[in-house]
Amino acid sequence: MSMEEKIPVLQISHLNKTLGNRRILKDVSFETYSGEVFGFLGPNGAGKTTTIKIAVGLLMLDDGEIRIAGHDLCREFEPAMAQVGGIVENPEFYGYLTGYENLKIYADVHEGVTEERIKEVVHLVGLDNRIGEKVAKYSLGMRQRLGVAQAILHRPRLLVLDEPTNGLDPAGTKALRDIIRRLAHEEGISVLVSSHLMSEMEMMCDRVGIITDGVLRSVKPIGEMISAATAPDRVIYVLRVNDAAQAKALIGDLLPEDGEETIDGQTLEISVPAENAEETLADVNGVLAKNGIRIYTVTPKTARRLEDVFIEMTGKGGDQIG
Amino acid sequence: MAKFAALVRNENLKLRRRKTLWVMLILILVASFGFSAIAGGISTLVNLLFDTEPFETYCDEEIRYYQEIVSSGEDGDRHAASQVLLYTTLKEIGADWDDWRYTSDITEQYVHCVAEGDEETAEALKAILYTNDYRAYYAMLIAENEAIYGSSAIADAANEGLRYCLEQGIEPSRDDWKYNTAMQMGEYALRVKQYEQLSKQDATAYRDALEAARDGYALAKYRLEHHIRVNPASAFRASADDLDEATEETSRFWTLARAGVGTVSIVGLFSIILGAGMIASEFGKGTVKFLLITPVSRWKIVLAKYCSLLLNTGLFLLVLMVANILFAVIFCGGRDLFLPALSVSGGVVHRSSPILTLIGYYLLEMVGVTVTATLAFAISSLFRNSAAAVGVSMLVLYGGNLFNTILAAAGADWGRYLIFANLNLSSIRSGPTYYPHQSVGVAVVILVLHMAVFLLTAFDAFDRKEI
Repeated sequence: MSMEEKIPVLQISHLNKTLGNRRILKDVSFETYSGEVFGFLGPNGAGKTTTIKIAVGLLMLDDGEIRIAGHDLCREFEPAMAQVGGIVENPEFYGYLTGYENLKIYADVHEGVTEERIKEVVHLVGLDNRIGEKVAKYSLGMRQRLGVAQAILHRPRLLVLDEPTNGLDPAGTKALRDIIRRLAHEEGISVLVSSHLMSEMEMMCDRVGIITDGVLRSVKPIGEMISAATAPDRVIYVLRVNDAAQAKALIGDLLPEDGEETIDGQTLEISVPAENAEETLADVNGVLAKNGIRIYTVTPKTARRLEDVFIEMTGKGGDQIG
Repeated sequence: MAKFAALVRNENLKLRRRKTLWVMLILILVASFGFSAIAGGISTLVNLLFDTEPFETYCDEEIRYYQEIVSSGEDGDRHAASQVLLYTTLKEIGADWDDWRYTSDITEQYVHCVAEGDEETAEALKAILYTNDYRAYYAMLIAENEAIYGSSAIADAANEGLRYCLEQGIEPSRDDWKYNTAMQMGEYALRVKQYEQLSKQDATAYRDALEAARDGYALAKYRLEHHIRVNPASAFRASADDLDEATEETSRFWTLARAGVGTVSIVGLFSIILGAGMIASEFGKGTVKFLLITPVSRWKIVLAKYCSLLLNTGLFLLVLMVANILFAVIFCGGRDLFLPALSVSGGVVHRSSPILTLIGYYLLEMVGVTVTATLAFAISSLFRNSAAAVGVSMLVLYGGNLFNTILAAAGADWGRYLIFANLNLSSIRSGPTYYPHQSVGVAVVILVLHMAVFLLTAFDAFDRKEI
């Protein structure tokens, strides 16, 4: 996706919200663009769900402005909402209706959703065989799939998914991830996903925004977000050897100013200056080989896990409610 | 507009797919059957039991009973002896349950004449009885009237009914509506003549009475001419004229149908439950998010729900009305169903449809039901709690009279402006009311104001609701 083509779909500016005495959102502003998956990250209680609820019209904003596909959500509610599809918290359906009927009653209040479109979407989420059953009989995974079907039924330009992988098994999670990425990258939908599962977000998102205590701390492309948190002038390599402890001692002598760390008996991480990193690595390899250390693999660890960045930025591991 | 229709359709679909709606409809049918069976079926059963005894056996029993009193010597005024003669005569002439000589007064008149020693009349009556000649009986009655009134226009009026029966060959049986109506016609004709004479002296004093007599005459004559056995309108009258009450046969069918209007309270119960659930259930199940993440303004969603509530309340009413009429036909027979309801004004008879009148009565009852269902809807929107909505609304609908009694007893005249005193429009119309000078018009205004408050509350609460 080239940066020049991107069109803002969701524009949130200076959003403020107070519930009771608590200021949930403090001047939150960001935009999501067509064709991208935007990850909304934050610990529990940071204001993710509140922001999402305001964006889909479930909550009213105190102050600020939200535009969806150019329409002001407050003043042009119906045209703005016509471009929104979403699941907030858990996908809830009428259990006494079939999956198809649930989609049908949702389709009826939108313009131009044909029977064919319903079938197409049902096929897309893989519910062809179960769509005639009552939703009360559905598993959480099936309901999640139905939720996605419902959310994209009317071809919205903005898809909002709050914790979409909640309760899904690994296969379901992967299927959902594929659907979401396809919708964004092939159909040009702007997807806003919130989650506390960092590994998920890392695999799914193009850009992420991190929110804590109602303040949006940072919005960056996923790669930048991770490398920004990593020291930019160093490269980390992971070495698999037959004796990590001995290797560490040898490297310590060779690179006295740099860090090296044994992960387990056979794994070792070394941090070398980015300048001439490969030459330095070759030297390391030479020393190790000369001293009888058997080197199985050497892998550059260019990216740190998003989770590390997240914990670093929020200053908490999600164990405290913000 | 198409989208709004879709919203209402969706609400109806949700109701239809839940068992509740069907259970309610079935209970309405059961209630209608139960009511009709109790109010209409039992009298049919009683009639069947009584009609089974042969007339002769009945006479024998009566004779034995009165003979015992006679032989015990306690019969001071010779009443029992007359009764013995009465039943002996009836048995001898071979009368039956539906014989005019039993169902009219003639046999009693004969026995009375014997007791009084009026042998001439007694003989004449005896001859009529034994020859079964009702024409002679009419002739005798006509002659009696002529003796009383002279051969004047008044005597002709008094004899109008008798002459009509004579011409038409109608036996003087009290079980025959034609005879009864003809007698009614004669009585009214006599009254008309009498009041006309009295009006010559004082026109204003007798104007109303004369008018009533003319109306009564016109109605009786119309019914005879058009062969209308009973007037369904009599079932809807609060109190009938004394003469009508005494002689006019009431339609059991229409009496039952009229009484069935009271069963509307079951519609009230169910429509309150429905109204209380429509919004609260969306919150309870979390489906409110499904409902609201749509390009439809919230007020439209509430309005669609309210429309659906009204439609389904209407469905309840329709089912109840049809079932009540159906069961009334089953228990009382359907021959009166298509009779016209007759009313008179200025001596002119007007025909109207009693079914329309009946529907009007139902609709009048439905006003209170609709207002309380709206209240349930509003409370459910405000507190998202269906139990509270059902409780409060039922208290208003069924416990309202308790408030009225307490407030009226406490002399709190402002109570007349509360919903409780205005819900029951039909009792306000027919009276008595809890507060003096209550009128349907004022009640409607008060109810409309209440409805407006309820609806505004429902819309506003739902519109502001943070989910």
